[in-house]
Amino acid sequence: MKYKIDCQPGYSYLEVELDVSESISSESGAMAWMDPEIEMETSTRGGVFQGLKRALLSGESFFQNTYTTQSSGARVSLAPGPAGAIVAREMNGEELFLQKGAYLASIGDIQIDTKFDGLRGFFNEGLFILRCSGTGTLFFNAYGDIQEVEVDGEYLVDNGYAVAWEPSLDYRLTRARKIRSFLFGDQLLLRFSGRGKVWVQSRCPHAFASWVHPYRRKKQKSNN
Amino acid sequence: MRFEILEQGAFQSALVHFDHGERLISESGAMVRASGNVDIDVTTRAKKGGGMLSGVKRLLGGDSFFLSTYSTTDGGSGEVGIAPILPGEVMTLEVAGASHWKTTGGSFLAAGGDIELDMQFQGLGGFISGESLFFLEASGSGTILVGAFGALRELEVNGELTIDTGHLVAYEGSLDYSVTKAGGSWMQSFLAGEGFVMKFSGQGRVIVQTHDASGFGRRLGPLLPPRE
Repeated sequence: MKYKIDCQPGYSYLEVELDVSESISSESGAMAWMDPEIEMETSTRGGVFQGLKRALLSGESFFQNTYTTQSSGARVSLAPGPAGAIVAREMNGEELFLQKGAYLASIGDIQIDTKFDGLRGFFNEGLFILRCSGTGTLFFNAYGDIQEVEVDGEYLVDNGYAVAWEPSLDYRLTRARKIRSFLFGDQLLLRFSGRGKVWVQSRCPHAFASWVHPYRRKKQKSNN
Repeated sequence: MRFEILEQGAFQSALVHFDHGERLISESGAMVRASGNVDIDVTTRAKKGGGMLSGVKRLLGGDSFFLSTYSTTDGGSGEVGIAPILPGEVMTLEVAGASHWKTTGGSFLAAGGDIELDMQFQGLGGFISGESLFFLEASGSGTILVGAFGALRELEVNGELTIDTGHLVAYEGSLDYSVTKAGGSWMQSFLAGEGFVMKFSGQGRVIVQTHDASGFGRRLGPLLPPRE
């Protein structure tokens, strides 16, 4: 199977060329264009329960699409919702944690499960994160550019910017010190420790949403 | 201290490398990441004196404006990633002696070196124009980082130049400006959709952004459900 990621980092999309008996799975809604020889099958992948869990708990889609072909060399292009980078990660029985909404597609035998993040997760962007494991290629995306950070020791990432990290890293949620939180929003930080990689995005959808907020109209108070 | 600009185009950000004893200041929400040895302190002051009150004033000024200060704790060097909220480019501006810069409140991202930041309210002109209500004056010596909505362009002013308030990012302190109308009459200016403009005069550089963020906000806002 051949794939390429084009238009990095601003408007990345993934193009895959499939041979007979090859397949790629993706989040539903990610297909941008494809050859007529591509067959698309929609399923809950892993069963209804898995689908529900994924949809309700981690903000991913209930259905997953699987693309196959009977004709070698057929192409399908997948594009994420937000404008930004895509990272391809070869997995060899390892695990990788993804932030809510970061999963795009996978090739091979990769399971996507939701992980309840305990108390720590309450402060997290999503209460649940995605645990990806297996063998194959995993594609994840973000809003903005994605930077890969090699952590050896300790590293801080703003909660809204962490996209993915390796399970070899331990992490806990902290607050920027000496912060006077009654005046402004707390800055919550993920403090990673150990050795491993963290992927960080260069823009934050939450911050963007907060930026737009003041431009919304005010709701008129009704008299009755 | 070294400002490394990451990537090209719409999603630029900066990775700032600094040694022990050096201090980086940023707009408080701008930090993306930091090495584990970095100590983050959120202050309401940019220079001696300021204090809490001016912090509150900043808050009232529209943008909640607080500054975070970064330094390393363990004697080693550290790094801090800085990014703006909106898609666009970032760039550094050098501040040294007579060459100092004034940035609009929303464009300022970070400052490193021996820089003093002073807040200047634009007064009535800024208020009416509905653009950012304050400017930050960066003096001393060091580097500041500004961010844009869209691409950044440097314009040379030699004589006069008219700039729409929403497109201004920063200008050199050697320049003067007055807030005025774009057309021949006020009526004409408003009909042209260019209520207020800034007329710069003197000699120096102006940094502009290709897109007006508040214009985008005004386009987007009415499409969203009303807020409570």
